[in-house]
Amino acid sequence: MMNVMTEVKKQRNFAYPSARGYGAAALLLTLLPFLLQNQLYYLDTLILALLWASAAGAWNLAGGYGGLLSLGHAAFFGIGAYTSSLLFVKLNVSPWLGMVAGAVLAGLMGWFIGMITLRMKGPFFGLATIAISEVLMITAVNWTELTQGSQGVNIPYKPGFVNMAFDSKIPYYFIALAICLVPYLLARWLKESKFGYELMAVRDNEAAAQALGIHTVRVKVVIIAVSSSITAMAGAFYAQYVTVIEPYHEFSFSVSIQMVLMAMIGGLGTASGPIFGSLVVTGLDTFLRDVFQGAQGGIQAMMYGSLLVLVVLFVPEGLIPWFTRRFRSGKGEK
Amino acid sequence: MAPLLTVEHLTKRFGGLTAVNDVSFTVEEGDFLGIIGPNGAGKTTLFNLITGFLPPDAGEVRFKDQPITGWKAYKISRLGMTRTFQITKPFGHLDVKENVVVAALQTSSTLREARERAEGVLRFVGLESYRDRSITHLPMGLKKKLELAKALATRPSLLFLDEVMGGLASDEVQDMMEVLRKVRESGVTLIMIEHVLQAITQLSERLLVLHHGAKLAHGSTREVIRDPEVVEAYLGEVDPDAVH
Repeated sequence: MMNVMTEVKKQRNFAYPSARGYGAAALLLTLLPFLLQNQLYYLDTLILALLWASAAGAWNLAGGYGGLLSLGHAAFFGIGAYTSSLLFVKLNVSPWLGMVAGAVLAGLMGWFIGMITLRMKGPFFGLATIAISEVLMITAVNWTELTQGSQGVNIPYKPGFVNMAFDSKIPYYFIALAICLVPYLLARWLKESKFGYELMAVRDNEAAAQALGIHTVRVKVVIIAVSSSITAMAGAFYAQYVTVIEPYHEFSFSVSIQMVLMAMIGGLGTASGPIFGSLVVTGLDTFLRDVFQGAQGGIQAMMYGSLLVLVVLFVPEGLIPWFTRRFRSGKGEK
Repeated sequence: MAPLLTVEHLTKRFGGLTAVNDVSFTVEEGDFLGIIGPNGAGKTTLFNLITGFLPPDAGEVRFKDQPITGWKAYKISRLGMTRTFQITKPFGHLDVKENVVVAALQTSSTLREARERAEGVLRFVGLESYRDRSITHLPMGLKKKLELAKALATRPSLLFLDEVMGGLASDEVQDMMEVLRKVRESGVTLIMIEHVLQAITQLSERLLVLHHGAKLAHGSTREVIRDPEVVEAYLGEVDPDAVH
């Protein structure tokens, strides 16, 4: 009986919206770009928010559900951006295929890093991800014949579906939304699958998971490969949307940290957390750029810092779990 | 028929310290073996060596007629040998039932089946009314029971219990003993480390005594607790009339 009531309560809150809630959300998400059609600035912000939500959501699969604190996810983001861009610019391969190729490459890279570092106890995985992103940045800067070094790669504007380039921002919006749904739906699936339970068990206590028969290294390597692949998809889309990529940005530590922060602010290990975190951070970013035009570099860093301090102090579990707790009466802590 | 578990000349050194020194014993299906010994005698290390959490330096472990020496813990667990931990290791972000579901999933084909079996195990150990509770504020007695429930949900044929009664109040000890009797009746072979002597002597019909990593005595509980060497090393000063 208590169980039934809990279920009903779950349906009514944030993290477990009802069918009607889903319908409303789907309608809103479909109509939104058309409503903002004449306010390109906001539409642009929204697309970027969805893009970073995809990357943060991908990070969250490994970091939030698996406890694998990658501090170098920019490596996978950059692999995605560079793979699709270079294939398109040099070989005229459709960015759609480039996106798949980037996802495969990044997945292999994630798998490789995982196989080497996740067998060991200690901070080796996090350190290795930072090292790999730095190495890739240096490679992209110095391998000038292929990457044009620090000049970056410009993607020629040839509109058309095959080239993933459009006159209007609306198609970009829907592509970003689709990519964003991948980690979101996967995160939802984790809560309802054997693999997801194993992953959360490994995160919470590795020795106990092993005692129950869970192949903990395999679970971790699989999730890091999946997370890397999706991050690369976001990277490939980013390249197509912004049409210029630079090694000092794509492989940068700040891109890595951005994914971590968005997931943390929204709520680690929640499906909608990274989306929420990205909306808050990207929205604030746009707002502050508006207010402090020209001086955004330093202000942005200060903003991140202050936001993180505020979140850690007042909502350490993240916004989504905090809202969930506030709106769920009677159930108490969980 | 070969014994369920055969341990031969198992040895583990940590630097200059020999934590487990040439320990051999066998366990038959249906046995309830108690392992006792003073702190630092190597009891938990012995568990870690057998269940795959530490590689032994020498010796052999055979389980169900298979040599499993050096196997990883998850593989050994899948073969039907699992354990609980002295310091309980719950999955902190999952609730009580979800903790057991993780374990039940290892021997279920669907999540639905695992959830049903988890319910059954929770009832079996008497945790059913706590199924939705978070781990954070669970009292020690319930944490120990949850530890047992997780292990049972994997359907082990051999279960290692590392001080499941440590830190429990006396009524909780009685309760846990009742549950362990039921586990035993359900056909699970048990090996248990315990400091609560009154409990272990009532439950187990055989005792293995470790002292400084080596086997000091091994035999029926009745004999072992009267062994003068055991009394001196572990049980302490006892009325000489009670010994023999």
